[in-house]
Amino acid sequence: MATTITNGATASAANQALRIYSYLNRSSLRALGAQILLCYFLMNDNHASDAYAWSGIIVRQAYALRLHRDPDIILPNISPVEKHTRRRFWQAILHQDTFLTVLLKLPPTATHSDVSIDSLANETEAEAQDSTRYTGSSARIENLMSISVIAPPQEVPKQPEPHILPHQRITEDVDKADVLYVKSLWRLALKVQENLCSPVSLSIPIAKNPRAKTTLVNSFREIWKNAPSFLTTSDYETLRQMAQNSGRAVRQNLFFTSNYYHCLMIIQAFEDAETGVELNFRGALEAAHEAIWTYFKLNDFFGGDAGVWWVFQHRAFEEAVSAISAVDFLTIANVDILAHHDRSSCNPPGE
Amino acid sequence: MTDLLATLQASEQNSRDPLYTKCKEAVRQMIDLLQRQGGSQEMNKHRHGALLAAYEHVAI
Repeated sequence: MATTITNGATASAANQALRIYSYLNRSSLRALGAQILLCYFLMNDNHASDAYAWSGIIVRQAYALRLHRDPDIILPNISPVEKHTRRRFWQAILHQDTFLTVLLKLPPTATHSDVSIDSLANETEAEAQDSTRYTGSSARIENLMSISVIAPPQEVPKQPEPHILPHQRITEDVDKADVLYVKSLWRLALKVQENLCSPVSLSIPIAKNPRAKTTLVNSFREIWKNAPSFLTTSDYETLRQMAQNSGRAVRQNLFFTSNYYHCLMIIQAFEDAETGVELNFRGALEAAHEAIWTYFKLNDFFGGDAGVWWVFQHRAFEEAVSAISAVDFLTIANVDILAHHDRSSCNPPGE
Repeated sequence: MTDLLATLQASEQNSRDPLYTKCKEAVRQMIDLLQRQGGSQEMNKHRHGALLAAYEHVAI
């Protein structure tokens, strides 16, 4: 009970802080960052419906800030750090939108972008190249209809550089590994958005014929094959030892693995008698088993994390219950989410 | 996994299949975990009940 009150109060405080800032008509990267974290908080606090609504605002604001455009194309003169920040923001929003909508079987929103995955550099590299440092010039839009947006001023006043706290600093090795993780998840998210989120949200078959299913499975396997080994290691003992020294890398491994195998399970379980697409019985079971085991590993290595990450537990629940068609998932997932929706509608966070 | 396993006939061959066995064990582990875990009690109770009900149909 005490936990519920604390969680509700935290969400409420975050909501009120954003309201005081007038986040809806003064979008900025900092406000967007707070909203992304709040969205994860709502998901993990069993407020999936609230999180979905927030996610819509986040994506619209990201579009308004032009985060969906590659900074090399639309803002070639901003600093490397700023370009890096904008790409990381877009990736975070795309990832959140994709893996929330694939669970809810609702349409993805972060669908229009030309941000290049390969242009994402390491943070330390971006800083090293940077002579101008952070200007914040492209990080904020006051009003989309204002004259300053329609005819932007030539001289943009410099904004103070955000203060980096000691605990926010990471080593160069960790930075490099982070970029590899982000790129791998980014590739996976794009694949999932196009091939699962969109068709499932419209009840369109995810494969039109047996060959298309094989091609889709192979394209997912290609992403797995190209991911760095620290993300694809599945051996329990290896990961347990890694967790003692490098919890960050193991968490990244589990998040990538869980998302990957969950999606592979959905594809392998897909069948359509009309077009002759058959269920891959053993393939679906194998993928479901790998996926659910990432949740057990999270629980074993990081204890409390497993109880907190709603998306992780929700995926594990789906993997345990069913590996049949995505339509059947819909029935199970909606019972769960709508039951929760009734509660959250009665008691919205922030009220 | 439970829904797929529930389609299998009870037979010695199926009961010995390593994949089916480890999947069944994983479902059992998830049921136990949901029972033990904190978080949203109502959600966990709902999930635990649904999974247990599905698991009862597994014959292998």
